[in-house]
Amino acid sequence: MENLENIIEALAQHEDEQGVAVLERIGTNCNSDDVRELTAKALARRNTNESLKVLVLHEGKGINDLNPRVAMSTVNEILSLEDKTEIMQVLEDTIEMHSNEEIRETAHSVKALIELS
Amino acid sequence: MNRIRLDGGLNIIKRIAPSKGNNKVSENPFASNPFGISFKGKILKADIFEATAKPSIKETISQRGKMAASAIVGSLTDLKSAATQRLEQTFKPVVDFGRQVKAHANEIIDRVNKFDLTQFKVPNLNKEKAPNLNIEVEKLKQKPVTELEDMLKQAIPA
Repeated sequence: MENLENIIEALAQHEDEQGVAVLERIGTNCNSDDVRELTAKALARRNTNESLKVLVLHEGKGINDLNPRVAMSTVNEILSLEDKTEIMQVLEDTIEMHSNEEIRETAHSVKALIELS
Repeated sequence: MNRIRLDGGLNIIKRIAPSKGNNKVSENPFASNPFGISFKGKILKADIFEATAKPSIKETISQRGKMAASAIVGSLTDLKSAATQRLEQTFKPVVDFGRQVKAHANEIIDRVNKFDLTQFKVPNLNKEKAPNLNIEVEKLKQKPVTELEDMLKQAIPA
């Protein structure tokens, strides 16, 4: 499990942007809750527009995960970011433009949490 | 011969006797009566002023009461000084102990103030563990993404 965590972390910190794509394709779609949680937290720590979009825009991933533990872990990781500029931008764009109302509401809730924290 | 001898002895007695009598009774009438009060032409001696009448019982009691009161006051004064000295002796260790406590308290306060200025460095185990993790991650980051993808697929439990 430690090796798995290191691999996910290495992909999240990799210079190649394809690392995020690999995590989105394999990590966030994994049946294992632990792998999805590790992947979501690593993507949140990367704190780039691409990595945060994976966590906010897609249904069943990141803050929209069906498992509440995975969703809350992702939210906690987002709340612990020092620089929240990028996530706020992604959340505002999602609230304004996303077609799925449930995803908009989730983004709105997370944005409210960030503002209150 | 015997008479002559007797006269000589009397003379000697006369010489000695006045000197003894002068010690008791002064020839000067004003010695014990400095105001020179006279009665029917005679200078009154000091004995005249001595109270011949005995003091009444009331006066005696009063005088004795005063003496007793004076004695009591004197005793109380002595007792007070003794009690004060005793109290001082009794409470001296307590006072000394209090002074020592105060001195120690000041010393403790100084030490506490020094503690406030001292910063203890508590080792952060997470940060110490993090470099090992980072070393492993840094090694993995050197590999291409495709290789990491294969490693991820193999590491994920079925």
